[in-house]
This record gives sequence, structure tokens and C-alpha cells, in this order.
Amino acid sequence: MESSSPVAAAAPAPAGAAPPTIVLEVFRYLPDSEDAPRYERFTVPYRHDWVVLDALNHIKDRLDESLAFRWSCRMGVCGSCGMMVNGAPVLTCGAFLRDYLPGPVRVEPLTHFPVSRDLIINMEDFIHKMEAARTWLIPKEPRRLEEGEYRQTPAQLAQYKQFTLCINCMCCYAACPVYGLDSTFVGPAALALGQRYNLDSRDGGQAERAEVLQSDHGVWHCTFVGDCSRACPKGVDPAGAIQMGKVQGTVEYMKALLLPGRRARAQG
Amino acid sequence: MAKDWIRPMPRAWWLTRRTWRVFMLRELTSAFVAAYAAFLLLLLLRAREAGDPASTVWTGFVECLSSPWSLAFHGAVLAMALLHTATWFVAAPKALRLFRGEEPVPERIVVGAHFAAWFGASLLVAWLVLG
Amino acid sequence: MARSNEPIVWSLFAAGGMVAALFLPVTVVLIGFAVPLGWLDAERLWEVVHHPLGRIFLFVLIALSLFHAGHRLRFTLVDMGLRGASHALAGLFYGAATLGSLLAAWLLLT
Repeated sequence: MESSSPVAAAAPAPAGAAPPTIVLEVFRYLPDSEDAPRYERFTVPYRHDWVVLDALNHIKDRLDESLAFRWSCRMGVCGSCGMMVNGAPVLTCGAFLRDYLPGPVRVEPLTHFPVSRDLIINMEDFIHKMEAARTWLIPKEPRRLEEGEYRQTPAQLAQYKQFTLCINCMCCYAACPVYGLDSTFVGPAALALGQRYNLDSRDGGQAERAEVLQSDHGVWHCTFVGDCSRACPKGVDPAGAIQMGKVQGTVEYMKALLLPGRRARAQG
Repeated sequence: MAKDWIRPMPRAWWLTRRTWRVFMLRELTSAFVAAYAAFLLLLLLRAREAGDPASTVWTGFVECLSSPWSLAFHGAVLAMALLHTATWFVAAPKALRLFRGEEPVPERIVVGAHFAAWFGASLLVAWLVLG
Repeated sequence: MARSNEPIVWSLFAAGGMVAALFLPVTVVLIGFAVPLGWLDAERLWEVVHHPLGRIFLFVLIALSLFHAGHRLRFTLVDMGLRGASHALAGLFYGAATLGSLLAAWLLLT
């Protein structure tokens, strides 16, 4: 790990006006010993190739081992290290200190979620939303193993592929004011993943998922702010998935209205 | 068991991020859309009241359209209507995802088609009214 | 959770948004600027407003614009902190849009 390298603090500043150090203002909440959160300033070495997560690891290794935060892969695929950096939800493993010069850099836990400790949020609600939206494949036709795989053409794959890139980092929930105002909203990632399976030619769970996706707490709660898509570190477009869900839901609704009995069959 | 810390959103939450201010401005275009619909209803009420194009009720109303108040009102509505048009078309490809085989049709093509349709429709209406 | 009835008002919102996006700017320019500039006189404006095509155009523009705006304002006010009044706002805005549409129909179609 770079953060434990002994040369880190003594490394000469790179060419240009790069400072030798940078200040991080870190959100601290220690529920066992303190009643309310506070911000704590840490001065860490500045390095051109350091990301915010490197700075946090430096703090934990050298300055204050009690600082709590989640991280794992350091390469933008595990989705653990999402935090607010200067007010924007980002993966801290991809947020370079050089983009926040001269500092200070304010690091807070993902907003709109309860904070369990320091930079760690309580993600229970998010897990429930994923379960509620049934974000897994519900096969259209059950097949026995000897019948072989479910086949799909490249064109069928293209319909949903971009939505599979979600890493459940919850940056989109921190970006969404609608979720922040009312957490009964199912929210961007769960709705986009629900839509991802609805768009899958092998899936037959659309009617089952509609109970949540097409409810007042599902796509119909969204006012299309669009920040979820701007915040997504993987380029997924949850706002687009939700608008598609509204269009498809409207078509289904009108069909059911004009052709009575159809909805009953679809659900049966 | 330690207690989670809840951070409620501030009342004026929509002022706190630039994209949220832009969002709120987009939503507020609808107030101007509604105001203009109400103005068109007023125009139709005046027409009914006048009963005849030569009536002073109608010619007086049409004269009022040249007043500074009317020009300011129409200027404000036009600015917000254009903002509505632009934001509506830019958002259109989100709901309308088209594919050509395996390749998604680029968003700028869908957006461009909407602007082209807008331009054509505007010209057609102007030609029918003025032509 | 039950399926929402929101598609009814959302489809009116979406249709109104598209109609307003396509036709509101040109309408504002014609009435608000072509008239003062003298490109459109009182008599011609009268003809346009009473022509069958003009009547249909104005009815669709007024009615759908009202539903578009009512739906958007409802959610804007809910997001601005009136979540508790959500049902009242829905009644107020869709009610006003319905009344405005009926008034437009009466003025244009009778």
C-alpha cells in the first residue's frame, strides 16, 4: 500500500506549484463516546498520484487509527468506498487529490443515508430496496440442465447491457434529492436494475416486479432530476432506465384499461 | 447499541447544488407555460366578448399587445418556453431509446431530430398564420 | 404495494410537455411580437383564432399545457416541502387544469 510507504511523507513535491501537504476535513461520528458529529482536520502529504482513499488510509495508518471507512478493491469495481468529497458523491479510490487543490478537501459519508460511524453509512434500506425490486433473473421458462443454456442474441444483450455495469456503490442515492427527501422512494439503482431484468429477453418477472417498480414509490416517485446518471462512476444511466419504466408502465396501464382482463392474465 | 446519525435535508435543499438549481429552474418553466395558457384563455374570452373583429373590445385588446407590459410578459414567457423546449428535447432520448441492430442510436441524433421537428413545426405554423 | 394510477396524469403531462415544447415558442412570438411589429393585424388574428384549424390548435395547446404545468408544479411544490399536502395539491392542480380545459372547449367549440 502506498499509504504505508516510508517515503510517502518525504517525497519531493512534483514539478509545478504542488504543495507538500493538503488538508482533509473529515466527518467524524463516534456514537459510543460523542453525542454529535464533528469535522476533524488532518494534514496529509500531497502526492500527485494519491486519491482521497490513499489520504484516508494514511490518516488511519499514521494519524488516527480510530477513523472508520469502507474500502476494498481500490480500482473502482467493488463499490465500497463511495463518499461525499466536497459535497459530491464519488468513489474515493477514483478521486485524485490533484483535482481538489489547494484544499481543504471535505470528506463526508454518503448523504441521504443514516451514519453508523465516521464515514460509514447504514445501507440496510438500500439492501431492502434491491430485494423489493427483485433485481435478479426470474426465468421466463424453467429449463432443466440437460435442456442447455438460455440463448440470447447480441442485439437482445445490447438492450440491457449498460445497466449491468452497476456496482451498488450507492452514489446515485446520495445524488438523488427525491430519495433524500423521502426514503420510501425505491431509488435509482434498484429501479435501474429492475429495469435491467425487465429488458432481458430471458426474464419473465416483469409483472412481479411491477408491484414495486410501478407503485407510487417506484418510477412514479421520480421527478427526473437526472443527478443519479451524472453521479454514476460506471456510466450507468438510471434516470434513463426510470423514464423508460414510466413509458412502459404507461403503455401497460393503458392496455389494461382498454382491454379489460389482460392485466389479470399478465399477473396470473 | 449505538445510534445512527440522521442528516435531514435542509428546507432550501434545491439551492445547495448547481444541478439542483438548474433542475428547479426547469421545473419552474411550467409556471410560465400555465401563465400563457391562462393568457390564451383571456384572449379567447375577449374574442367572445367582442363578437366581431371590428369591435373595440377586440381591437383594444390587440393594441394592448404592443404595450411595454405585454412585451415584458411575452419576453419572459418566450425565454422560459425556449428553456422548456431545450430541456425537454435534451431529455427525450432518456425515455426513447432506439436501437439499430446491436448499436444504440446516439442520443444526439434523437435530440437533433426533435429540434429539426420543432424548427419545421414552427415554420409551418408561422407560414399558415402570416402567409 | 399497489400499482400506481399515475400513468393517467403522467401521460397528459408528457403529451403537454411535447406540445408546449413544439408549439409554445412560435405561438408566443406570433401573438406577442408579430402583432406589435405589424406583421399580424387584429383582423387576421381574429380569422386565425376562429378558423377550425386554429381552434383545434389552441384547444390542444391550452388543455395539454395546463395538465403539463399542473403535474410539474404539483411535484415541484411536493419536493419544496409540501409533501404532506400532496393529495390536496393534486386535486388543486388537476382540478384547475380540468376547469381550464372545459373553459377552452366552451370558448373554442361552441
